[in-house]
Amino acid sequence: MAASTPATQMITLTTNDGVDMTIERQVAERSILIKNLLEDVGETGEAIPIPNVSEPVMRKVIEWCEQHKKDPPASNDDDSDSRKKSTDIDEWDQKFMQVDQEMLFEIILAANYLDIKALLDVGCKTVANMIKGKSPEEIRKTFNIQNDFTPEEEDQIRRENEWAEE
Amino acid sequence: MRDDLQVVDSFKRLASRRSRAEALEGIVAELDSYEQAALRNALNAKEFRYDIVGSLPPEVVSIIFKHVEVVDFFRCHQVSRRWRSLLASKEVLRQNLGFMHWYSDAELAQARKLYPRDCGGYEFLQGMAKRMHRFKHGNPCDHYQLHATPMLFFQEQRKSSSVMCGERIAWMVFSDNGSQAITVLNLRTRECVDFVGQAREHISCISLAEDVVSYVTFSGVCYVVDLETREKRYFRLPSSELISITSRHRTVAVLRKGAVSVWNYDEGSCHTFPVMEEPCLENSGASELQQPQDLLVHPIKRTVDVFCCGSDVTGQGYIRSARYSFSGEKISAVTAPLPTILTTHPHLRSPVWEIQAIVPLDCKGRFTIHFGCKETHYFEHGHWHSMVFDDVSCNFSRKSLEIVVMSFKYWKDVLYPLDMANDGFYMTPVVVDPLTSNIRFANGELPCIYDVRYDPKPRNTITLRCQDREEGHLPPDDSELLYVNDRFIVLFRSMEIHVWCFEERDVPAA
Repeated sequence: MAASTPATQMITLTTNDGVDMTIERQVAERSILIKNLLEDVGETGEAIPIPNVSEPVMRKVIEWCEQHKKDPPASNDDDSDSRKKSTDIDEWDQKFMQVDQEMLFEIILAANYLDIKALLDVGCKTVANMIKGKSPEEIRKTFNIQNDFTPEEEDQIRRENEWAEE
Repeated sequence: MRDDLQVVDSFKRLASRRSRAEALEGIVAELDSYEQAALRNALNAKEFRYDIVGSLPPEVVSIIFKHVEVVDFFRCHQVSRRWRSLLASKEVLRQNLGFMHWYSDAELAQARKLYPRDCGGYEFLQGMAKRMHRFKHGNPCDHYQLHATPMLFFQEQRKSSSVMCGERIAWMVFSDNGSQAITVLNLRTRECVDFVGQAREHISCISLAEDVVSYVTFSGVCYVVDLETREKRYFRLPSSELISITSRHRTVAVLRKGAVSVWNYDEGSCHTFPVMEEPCLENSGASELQQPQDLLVHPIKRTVDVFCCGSDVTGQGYIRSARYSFSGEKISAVTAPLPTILTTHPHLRSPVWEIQAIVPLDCKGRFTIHFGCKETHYFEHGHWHSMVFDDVSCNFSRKSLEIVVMSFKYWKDVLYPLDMANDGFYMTPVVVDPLTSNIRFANGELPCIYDVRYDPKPRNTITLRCQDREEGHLPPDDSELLYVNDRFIVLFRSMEIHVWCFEERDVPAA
């Protein structure tokens, strides 16, 4: 068991491209993965390897964690009761998410891997906002997707979903 | 394999970032100036646009689509093969289709029966989404009209003389000397079946549940009919004034003055136990005892909740629920103040409160209790007074449901996600006078329904009209009743019934 921890205990993470990053433990513990790891392993002072995240992405993630380190921990109850289709993102997060699509993708993957539910949610909401109210063609353009349906298939799917076009 | 493909293939197989970076460096070093230009063009064209959705694991995609409207969700199936297979995967489907949470498992099982060929559940889910979309946009897939036996509704009997549950609606058939029969209409199959008592006794009240319809005669017999098999059974009630009847699944509970009787269709045995008059204000010195007015039954927990209303000297109303086990043991009681809206009425010192109806609100065991005050009419400021009772936590909560029409009966919270944008959890059906756009009541008591108009989103109002109304053939009918659930909207008039369907499977093939 770790004794009473000093206010700013620092820990070191090693990203998959071999960069060591030293950050506050409180910040790092926004990640449930790291938090559990620290609890299991105890204080060894050794760097924690994060094999799935590269340095630039990790920097972004840490930036987010710094900003949100005072947030109350994510509640466990799945928001099944208040299933709002709300895609409201707070201003800071919105700015934070103004990155190119590859970075957005990497942040979502990292948040998923590191188990940072709130960040994962913000990332997913950002993507959801890119989808909402758009036609299939507009979505393809947005994400640079090739339409790989044959005209016949496309026609059939369109007919299946005609009701969704008001 | 061709050489060029092989290069791409070996590159794909490079696992680490470092080796990929080194390989790229090596390739770039090999490029001549034309090839460099071509590479630059290719990169520019790509603009770092990225098929984020197609590259994420399904569990993450499901989180994205949790934030997307159902309509967008189905539209996205047209994007690409990859998207289509991702969105049709169970992880994503289940998460996205939030409406799944509005239904209990039993109801979902029931709804699945409409899709017999559908193993993966996809067609079923799409069907549900379609139905909700139609409902939201006031775009029914069918409207039909049945000419029914004249239903002479007497004002005081309206409350309890008809009821809708799921795909069925049941009503008491009145003739000049009262009601001797009930009719059950299956809104999907359009089949009408009449039931009577063994000696065509006069019927005093009716209750409809998922599996059974029950009706009590003035001679104190409660008939219960299995809606599938149509087999009629009955039990006899000890004679005393009948107050209310309720049913759930296959269990019926009847409240008479001073006693509750519970009867299960399959078990056949009747539990009768006395219920006391309850004090509504336990801690005040003058605790007047109030007579129970209505009840709810919970067949699985085997409990009965008995409700009563009362008020203190200032006119503040209270509602109280006492929970009994089937063996008559009192388990708990809870009291809550009623909304103060009528308390401030200048002519009332201590009004007499009464429960009008207890209506299911959702599949999580919440009920809306509509109540009023005997001395005034039930509408004031356009509000129909109601409270929500949660039979899981056994608690009351306030909801300012602006239900303006007495005849609206809510069924399930299937209605409430429709108004999510407005932070509400219910849809507000409004009955308006088309000339003035005002909510209109006949004699301040019962509304005239001119248009059935509902407003799922502000500024997105849908009006359903009866054909004859538009042609001006029939005058407004003051004995109209309106029922709503997610599959059907039913308008009862004195001579006919209008039904609007929102589920394609409920429309018989031509």
